[in-house]
Amino acid sequence: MTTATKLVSEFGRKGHPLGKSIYRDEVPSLVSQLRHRLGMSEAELDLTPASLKRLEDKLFELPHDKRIEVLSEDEIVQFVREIAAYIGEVLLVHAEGRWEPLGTLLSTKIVFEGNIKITKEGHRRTVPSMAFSLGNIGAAALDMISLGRRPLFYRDYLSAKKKTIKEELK
Amino acid sequence: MLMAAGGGALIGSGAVIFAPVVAAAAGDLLVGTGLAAGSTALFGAGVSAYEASTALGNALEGSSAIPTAKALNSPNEIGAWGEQQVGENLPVNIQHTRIIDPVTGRVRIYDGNFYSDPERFVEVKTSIQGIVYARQMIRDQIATDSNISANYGTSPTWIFVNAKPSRPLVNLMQQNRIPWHQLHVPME
Repeated sequence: MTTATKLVSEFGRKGHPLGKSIYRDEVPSLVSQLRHRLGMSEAELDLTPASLKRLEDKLFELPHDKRIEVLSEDEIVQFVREIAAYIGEVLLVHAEGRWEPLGTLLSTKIVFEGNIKITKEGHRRTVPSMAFSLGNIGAAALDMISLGRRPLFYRDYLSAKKKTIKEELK
Repeated sequence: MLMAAGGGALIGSGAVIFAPVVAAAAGDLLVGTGLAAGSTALFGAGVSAYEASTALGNALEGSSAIPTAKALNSPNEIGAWGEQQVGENLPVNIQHTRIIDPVTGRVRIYDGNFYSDPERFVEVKTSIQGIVYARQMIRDQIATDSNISANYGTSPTWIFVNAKPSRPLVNLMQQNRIPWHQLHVPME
């Protein structure tokens, strides 16, 4: 089965315009398109951390005719761009990240710097920086919804804000 | 890419990187001596790297582990040291990256990515004992890497620095088509 992540990866490798990096000056337009797509107001999607929970709820409760199962490939990747832009802007502003477009949607990152505490393989250590892939967050959200799982954007925000990242494989 | 007498590709100053098949040919891990900086065709193509990995015979079973510097006593110290060696000797950008498994929603942290392909992640493994075992946490990482590989179309690559994977771990990586390599950095 084709997944949103597979499509985003393929679009990036093919050099399709929708698979390319998101630049920050595109964010207002993409956020506006997301509000329109989901039928949400500026007050509901106001780019605050709290709005991430509203976005999670809305996406999880998407009616069938708006889910990726019925969208074209272009529409799915466009949807990922909109989600990625929204999450990226919230993380950038409220968790003090740095926008880093590296050529493709999947490699568009928000980078957090300065004594990031990571827990991996049971060990805690501090690293100088940590990147969050925006394309991955957006695409994984749509894939998880199609599998009946709720995306966890607010968890992502808290992790970035606290500069505490845990590898969670269970 | 220069090749050592035993077949290892020489990279950077004194470091040697090679796919496991090279270890099989040489009979033991190689130590480089001299050398030109270089890019590595080895790391340019995932499939060839994987094929090299799967060609592993029994060499690792009999080879001794390479000791790591005695000053590196804790998992944190040795982990940071291993990443530093990979960043200095290979075309890898050591940038920790948080990735969500699109199948399970679980969170994976990679140690870096190839400069040539930011979507091709790198996992660095080191060990005080010189051997990395297939503990449950490692098994969980491989399961997640398998999902990510299936969706990204390219597999994360594991690099063992002055360490070798245990036989069960080798088998697990082969089963999940995880490309892996060893980097030997001579210690002072």
